[in-house]
Amino acid sequence: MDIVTMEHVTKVYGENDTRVWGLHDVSLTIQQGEIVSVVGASGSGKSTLLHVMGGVDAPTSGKIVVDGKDITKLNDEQMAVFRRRKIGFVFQAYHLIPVLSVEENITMPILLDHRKPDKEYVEHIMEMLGLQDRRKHLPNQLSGGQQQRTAIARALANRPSLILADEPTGALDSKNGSEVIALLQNSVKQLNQTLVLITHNIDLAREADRIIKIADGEIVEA
Amino acid sequence: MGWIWHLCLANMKQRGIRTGLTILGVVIGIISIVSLLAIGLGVKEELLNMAGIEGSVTEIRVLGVTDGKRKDRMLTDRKLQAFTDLEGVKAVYPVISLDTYVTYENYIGYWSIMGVPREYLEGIPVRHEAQEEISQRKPELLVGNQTGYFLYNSVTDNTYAELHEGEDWDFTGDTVEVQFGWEENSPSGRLTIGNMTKDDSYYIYCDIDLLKQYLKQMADGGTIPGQPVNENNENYNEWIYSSIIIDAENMDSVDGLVKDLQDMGYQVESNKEMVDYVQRTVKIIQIVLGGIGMIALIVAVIGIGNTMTTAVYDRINEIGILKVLGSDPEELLYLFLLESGILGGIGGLIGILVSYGITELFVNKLAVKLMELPKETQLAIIPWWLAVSAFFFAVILGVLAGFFPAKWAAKLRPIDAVQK
Repeated sequence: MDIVTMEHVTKVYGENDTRVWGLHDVSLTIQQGEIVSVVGASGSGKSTLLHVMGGVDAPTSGKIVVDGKDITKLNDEQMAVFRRRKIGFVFQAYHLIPVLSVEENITMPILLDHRKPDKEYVEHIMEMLGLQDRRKHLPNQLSGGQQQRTAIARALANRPSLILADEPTGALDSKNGSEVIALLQNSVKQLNQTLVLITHNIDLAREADRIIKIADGEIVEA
Repeated sequence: MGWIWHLCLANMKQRGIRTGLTILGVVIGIISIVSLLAIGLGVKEELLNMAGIEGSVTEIRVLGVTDGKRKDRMLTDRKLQAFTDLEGVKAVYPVISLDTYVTYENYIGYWSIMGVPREYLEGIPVRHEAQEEISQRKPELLVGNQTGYFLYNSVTDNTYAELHEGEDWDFTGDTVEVQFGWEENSPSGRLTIGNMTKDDSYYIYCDIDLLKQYLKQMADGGTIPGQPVNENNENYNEWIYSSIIIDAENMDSVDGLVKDLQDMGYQVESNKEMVDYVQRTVKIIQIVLGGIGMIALIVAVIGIGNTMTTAVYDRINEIGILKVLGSDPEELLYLFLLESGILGGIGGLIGILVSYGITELFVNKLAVKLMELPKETQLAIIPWWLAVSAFFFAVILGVLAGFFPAKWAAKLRPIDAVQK
């Protein structure tokens, strides 16, 4: 089953002389349960690809269907609902909410969707990511690896259709980095999720089911 | 909505110092405006009290005609009933005033004794609280504590006040010889002074019913002292009052009543001019004081606005995360409005409580002492409505101050917010 379909997606920043191509006529499909790595140089458009796929940035033109829904037709409110139900984000800089504990950060997407957290499931995720002993800690009391594991747990909390990870190991040393990636891939496999992962690390990229290479806003090798 | 409260309180706690300082700003603003308005209100009461207004500010005195020429203007029980039915009237009291010649020990004086209904009499603050058994035959006198100025020593021609300077005069329990009229053969009798007024007063009061009874006895079939007579030199067959005191429902109904009564042809006295003067003065005081307080509050509001703006800038990242995670834009707006509302509310609450303390301690105790005013003087009054409206005012201003930063936060594009 196709979970993501992008057709002729273009993203242009700026106007006229200052216009910069973020994405240039990109088309691709991603299957349910697939783990896909996106590789490419800085400024090649990897992050833009992830952002338009996850509904945090709107494409200039083209069609993006995620889990059967054309997200280019959604307004701001609908887009917010789409993000919290269908997408789990993991960022390089973790982006945890500093005043909330590990557990509170993890359940945030569920609360934002006005639902009660499924305690058992949240417990299961925390166990999978080795966070049970840290549940009451604030982000600044955690190591980088622990923070990123919290972010991964948060991304999984709402059982989204698609997990988008933008260089999740970029801020970690290689030992912690490969541990986090292993945990991420394990969790995704266990929960039968779909993962799109941006990485610089070609070794990490090779562990994916498929590698998408991107340069100057275009897919050069899929 | 639960997460909004939680996140809001967690953030305020995390940024404790800034939260505290912002609340302090609101507290100072509220203290200024509440205390200054409280002083305005207190001073108004005090001015009305100190203005030397005899009787209440809602009192209107309708003067009667007693010379028999204008029979229709004479004040009778029927007129009393008619006045009762006027709009804005709370109560009416008939008054019989008698010019008398009194002898007290070796002093003589010309006292005007006023017979008033018992309910009116009971409203006058007296020196001796213990109510003695009322004599059913003779009226007892309630004597103004300034009446010593109207008693003259028949030998030295000094007033009682001059001869007893610095003393606390008290005639209670003494008797006076009262002659009703100036002629040699005017009827006279001995009356007991039952009490003294507490406040400064030159009047002498007694119960009107007992006075009527007493005057009838004095008349002994002849004409009743102080009552007008017709062409045949006979009393009318009903009581004619010297004046009628009308107690208006409130200060604002005094104007209309005075006008109505004047239109009916009566001569009317009221404390209206004094009240008007006091109210004008008070309005100026309140505007000035309120204005100063307002400036303090505006500074506080700018403080909240400043805090909220920095809070939004500081938290662009957090806002971005919430947006990326899919929070509804309006919930984000609530998050910030709630925070600024709480800042205003807490500041308002503390401000009001501290205002009670400050006005009580510094104004009603210390300032009153320094200005050598009577101990129980209330120079500042915080009525409940002032406290309640100050609280809501603080909350509303807080929310308003947070509105534009909050709106801006809600509008941020998620991607901009995260990348910053």
